Amino acid sequence: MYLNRNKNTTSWGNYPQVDALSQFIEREKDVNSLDMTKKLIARGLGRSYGDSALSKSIVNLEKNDYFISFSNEGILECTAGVSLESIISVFSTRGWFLPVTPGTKYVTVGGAIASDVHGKNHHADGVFSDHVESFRIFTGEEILECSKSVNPDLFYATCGGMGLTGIILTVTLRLLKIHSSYIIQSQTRASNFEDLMRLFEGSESEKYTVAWIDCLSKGEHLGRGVMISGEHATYDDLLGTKMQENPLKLCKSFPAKIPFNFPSFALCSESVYLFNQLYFNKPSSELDRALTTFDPFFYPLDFVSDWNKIYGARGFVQYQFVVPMKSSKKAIQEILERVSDKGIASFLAVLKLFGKESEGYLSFPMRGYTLALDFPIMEGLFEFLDELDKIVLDANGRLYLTKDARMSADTFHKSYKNVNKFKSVVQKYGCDRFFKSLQAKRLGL
Amino acid sequence: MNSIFILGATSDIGRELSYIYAGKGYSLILSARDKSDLTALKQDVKVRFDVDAETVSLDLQDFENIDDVISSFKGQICGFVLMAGYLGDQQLAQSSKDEAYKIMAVNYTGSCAALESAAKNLESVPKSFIIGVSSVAGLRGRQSNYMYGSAKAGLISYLSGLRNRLQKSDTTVLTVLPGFVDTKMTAHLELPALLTASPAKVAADIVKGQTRGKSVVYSIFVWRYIMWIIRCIPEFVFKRLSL
Ligand SMILES: Cc1cc2nc3c(=O)[nH]c(=O)nc-3n(C[C@H](O)[C@H](O)[C@H](O)COP(=O)(O)OP(=O)(O)OC[C@H]3O[C@@H](n4cnc5c(N)ncnc54)[C@H](O)[C@@H]3O)c2cc1C
Ligand SMILES: NC(=O)c1ccc[n+]([C@@H]2O[C@H](COP(=O)([O-])OP(=O)(O)OC[C@H]3O[C@@H](n4cnc5c(N)ncnc54)[C@H](OP(=O)(O)O)[C@@H]3O)[C@@H](O)[C@H]2O)c1
Repeated sequence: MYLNRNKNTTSWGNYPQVDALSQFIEREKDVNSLDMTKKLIARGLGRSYGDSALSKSIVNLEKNDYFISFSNEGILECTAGVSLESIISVFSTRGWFLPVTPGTKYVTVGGAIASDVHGKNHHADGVFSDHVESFRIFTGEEILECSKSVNPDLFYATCGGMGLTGIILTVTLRLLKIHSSYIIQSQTRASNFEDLMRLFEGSESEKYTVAWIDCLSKGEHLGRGVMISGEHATYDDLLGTKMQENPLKLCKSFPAKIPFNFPSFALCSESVYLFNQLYFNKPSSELDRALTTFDPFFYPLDFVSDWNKIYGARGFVQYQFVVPMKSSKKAIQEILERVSDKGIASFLAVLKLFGKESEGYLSFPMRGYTLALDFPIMEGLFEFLDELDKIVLDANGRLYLTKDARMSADTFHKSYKNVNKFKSVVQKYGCDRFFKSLQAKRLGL
Repeated sequence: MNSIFILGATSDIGRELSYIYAGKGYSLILSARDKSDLTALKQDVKVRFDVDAETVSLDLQDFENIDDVISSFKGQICGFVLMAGYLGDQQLAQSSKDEAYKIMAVNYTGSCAALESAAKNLESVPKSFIIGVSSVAGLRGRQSNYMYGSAKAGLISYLSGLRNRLQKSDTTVLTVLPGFVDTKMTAHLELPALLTASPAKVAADIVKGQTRGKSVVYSIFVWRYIMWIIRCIPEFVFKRLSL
């Protein structure tokens, strides 16, 4: 184990920054030498956007990345710091893939459980923890095994529990069998939000679906976008192509680098407008089916490593909310209107229709639509987002904790219905005496 | 006869080196003191590369035991890597005999004993190799770490003598001279980014040197020139520097 102090420790949004002392755990035995006098929070690869993985005292697990065992039935056991990127590079050529993956592969399995991440297949396959057989967690006093049948309350508190139940040490998860490393992708344009909803609701039998929305369009084009759907190509799909020779070949794309914090003006609404124009003119036809590989399909943003720096040194927040089916149309249209009126351009807007609610007490997804928007930090932004919060609350929705850096404790308590259950489990196992993040303080967790 | 014995395999550089050799299909014998660390690495390598790997615990301060442990793999190994090292605490070593002795034993006497045993077991093995990881710190003694530096200097001389001795056999001997490396050994130090290599880079340089039959590799290469300059500084100047 070793220590590192960084005055400007931040996560993906570069906001907020904190002077933090990190204790790097490389192996399980290092847990015994942790300094626990201050409250700690676990951290993986810091791909959460806000303050969930931040505190003055951090336990960093990115070096604790060891595979432990793998069975031919696809059951993988590894330490919590293993990244999804490592899993793909080791197993995809053997015919196995992640059952659920977020939009970046640079996250740890520990972080994927703590945020209970979802992917483009949420409607079909649920959240990450639905594929976790068990994990072992250090609660501050002891190391406990957890699964849906062993210590289930701690299991459900930890999935989506943002590190507040302790430090996940090892994880056993079920991988997904694949027959090729290719994806058959379709892109369909939609001229407004209603159109997009129709597309989503008509494609629930597709494995992966997601849409990009142009946040600057207004009026009858409000919410125009492109829906991208896909599924894993089978061997037959590759017949007659060069790819059939080596169907599981892993094509890696090397990310370009943005080496420094971009000046903030690079993100003025014109540049976002141009970007969106570019994106929406990309699909060559209304319905465009093509073979593609994992990186461009699942991880388009990983192409430019450190793209978060284009928002400048002040950083940015990602505002991701979900609203139930019934209220989706009204709430999302209203939010899109506010955003486009305000002219605070969002570089990215990603829309997805979720499947059923998960069991983790603080897990984010519920049946309904989720929208994610990026906002560079600027004066008046938080007041504006407070207004959006009201719309989300009125629609019985909630915000994703792993993206959040500013929601009020009140908004949080009103929208997460199982908070009390969560708190009682945390108290029962005594984790609250040892673990706390900046976010937990802000939210009164 | 396609196993490689890596002593100090659980170091950051050792782990990367294990990956490269496992990726090339070699079986591994992973060695260091800590058994649980070795087991973790063994399982990891097996899952990642689907190769055979076994572990053996060995302490370079346990002088009597070194040859027996290494010789028990006779006939199985075609390569031996001495990666283990101990930076220690220079200040402490000036007042504590134990610390001074430990630095010298791990980096010099124990290391030489291990290499001597490896040479004995590999001398008659065709296309075999021995790799010893020393340090640029061994090229000139400085007040900040001369206990470590002098032991690593001894190791450099030992390796050049061994290379000379094995010249006629089919065993190559490679001396590795890393500069700054970003590992747990140096996690508490502030190292200049441009002169600091990642463990993976050093491991790649080692394997490149070994496959090309090189005698000495620096990692990263600029250290060859930096050390050349440092060694050119006349002693009457050098002794006044605070390095
Ligand atoms: C480009 C991009 C795209 C993304 N796309 C998606 C997406 O599609 N879907 C989605 O769900 N998320 C998405 N995310 C968010 C990301 O998947 C989550 O924030 C994830 O948790 C980050 O993992 P990490 O290892 O970096 O964890 P960190 O950011 O370091 O930590 C996140 C949380 O996990 C906790 N944690 C980390 N490790 C442990 C551990 N070992 N034990 C206990 N708690 C731990 C931390 O305390 C913190 O609360 C995206 C993020 C980025 C940057
Ligand atoms: N890091 C640098 O900047 C740097 C620079 C130049 C040279 N080097 C050299 O590169 C090599 C690897 O360095 P590193 O930084 O990766 O080292 P490290 O992470 O500190 O690891 C040291 C390794 O040596 C083993 N070891 C320590 N004492 C031992 C003993 N008495 N008997 C047997 N094994 C022992 C350790 O395992 P156990 O503790 O389990 O025994 C571990 O595997 C060392 O020889 C070092 O001197 C490093």
